[in-house]
Amino acid sequence: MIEISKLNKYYKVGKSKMHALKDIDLTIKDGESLAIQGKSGAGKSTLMHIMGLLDSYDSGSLKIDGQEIKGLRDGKLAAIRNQKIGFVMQDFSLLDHKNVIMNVMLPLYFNHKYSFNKMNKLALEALERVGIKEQANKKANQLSGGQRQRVAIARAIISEPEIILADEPTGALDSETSVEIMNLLKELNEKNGITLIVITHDDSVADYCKRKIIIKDGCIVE
Amino acid sequence: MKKLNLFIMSFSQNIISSIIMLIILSFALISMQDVIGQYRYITYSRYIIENQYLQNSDYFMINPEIMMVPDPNEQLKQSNSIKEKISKFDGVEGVAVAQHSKASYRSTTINTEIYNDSMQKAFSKELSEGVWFEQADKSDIPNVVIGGAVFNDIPIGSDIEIEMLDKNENLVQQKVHVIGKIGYPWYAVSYSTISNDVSTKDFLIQVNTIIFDDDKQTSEILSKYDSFQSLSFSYFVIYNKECTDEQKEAVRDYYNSVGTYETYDQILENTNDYIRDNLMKKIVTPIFLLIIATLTLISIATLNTYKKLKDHSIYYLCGCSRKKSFAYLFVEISIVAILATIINIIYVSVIMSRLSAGTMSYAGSIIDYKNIIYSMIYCIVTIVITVILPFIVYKKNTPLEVYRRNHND
Repeated sequence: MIEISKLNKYYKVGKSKMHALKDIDLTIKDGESLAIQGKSGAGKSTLMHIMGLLDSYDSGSLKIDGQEIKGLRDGKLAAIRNQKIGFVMQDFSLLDHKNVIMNVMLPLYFNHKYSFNKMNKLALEALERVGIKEQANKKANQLSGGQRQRVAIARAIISEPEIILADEPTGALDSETSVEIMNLLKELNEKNGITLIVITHDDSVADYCKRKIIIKDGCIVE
Repeated sequence: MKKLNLFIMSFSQNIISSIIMLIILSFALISMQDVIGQYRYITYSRYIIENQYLQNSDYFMINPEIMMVPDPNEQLKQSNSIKEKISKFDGVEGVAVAQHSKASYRSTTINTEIYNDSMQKAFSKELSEGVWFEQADKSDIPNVVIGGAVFNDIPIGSDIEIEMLDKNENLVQQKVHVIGKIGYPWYAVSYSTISNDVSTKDFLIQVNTIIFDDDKQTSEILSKYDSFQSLSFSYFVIYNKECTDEQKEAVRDYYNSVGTYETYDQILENTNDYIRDNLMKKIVTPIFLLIIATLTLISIATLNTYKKLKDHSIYYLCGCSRKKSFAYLFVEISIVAILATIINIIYVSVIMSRLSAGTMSYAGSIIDYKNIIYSMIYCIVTIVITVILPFIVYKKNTPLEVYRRNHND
């Protein structure tokens, strides 16, 4: 469960400060699917980065599974990111020059629990779940946009995370492929109970989630 | 294993540039080691020659033409006569000479020498262990000072047997007692150079040597061997403290009539000139190569860091901490310098082990563990310098900034 209360984030713009997120209060229960919508610059990506422990916040509280995030060291934050959160990004964020299986097993490299053989096995299983097992040995840059996003999803689920944070997951895809990707994410949410948080400005994408919120000027308005 | 795999995966992108850098850097380091070895040799030779006893001396060299007589006995007579004449001049304290012969130990040919008093006083710095003859107890067995790879394992105080030729040219076993050792790099004094530009580097020779005392007892023992020659073409002539300039002039006039000479100060000056003119020229190329290689290494490391920022932002997304991420980058950046240093250390170690085993001679150079220390210092300094810029680049570009930049692209 993610609990956010009175969270504020400021950015320095030259000598002045920009208030990017204003007193955000938000609770996301386990297994929930949530779409965060808003116009460009509204603060939705900032909120996603904070929830994904990629960015810090200035005041307020963020708890993941009851653990307060403020004050945790980089190593601990990395461990939470590694074990509890999977990311699906608009630009896929793949190592283009490496093969698919290497990309998928990447999070396991940073978790000492897994042996190399186990990593390989889990990566193939994850690729099977997203339907591109046969592409395992191809380089990431040899795949289509839809296939690359599937690789990103396989990588996001390989650690069996509690949360998937998807930042404009269909932003670089055509409409047909977008439907496939959103169906896949929805299936992971419904069948596997993974909490799904989707950042999007596209209503049709947001419709795949059971709950929607809109951010405007750094505040949750709906 | 996993970490190594991740490192190899990332490093494989720069493999060609890294191999080229490794070759250049290794070559530069090895060239540098050779020049350092030569520099150490000449400063070592200066250290050996630079002593109080020799400060008031000249290095005399006989005119080779005078010695061009077919009969060896006549040759010996001639050289001894010159030596005696020089010794008898007012103001001359002694002539530092040695008698040479060949012997054999453990089937290896060795050089045997008899040092007179002046020789011992002049070159007493050479010993790394033990004492010279005047401080040692006498026994029936002749005392010796040893030096060279073949004697590496012989402890002070032990008796060893060498083989020498007697007057009938039969090999005879001679037991000797070891009282002192010339340490690595086992350079013994040699007067083989006759030139008008003598420097301290010309006085040493890397050879397996046994040195005997010139005392009565040893002379009696050694008299059964026919092989010792007191033929000396060149040697140091030591003046006593009271020797006046006029007395010195008289001796030097004689030198000029039968040969040539260099004053002690001239020898030291020649040595310093040699260092300045010769070694400094030699060192330019390796230093230039090292600087170019190090600057290229810095440029490649910085460019690679920029190139790898996206990869490392993905590592961060997947749960790698910034510290760990930089550690991977650090290893990638420093691996070339580390490998070049390892190659260099292997090169130095091979030379050292071959020198110790006596299977190689590296005359005119000193290569030992200090060269390994120099390599390691270079490695550390290079890594520190090479890592600074990439570290600043890495620190300035947080994964989120990199992600945002790529996202906006």
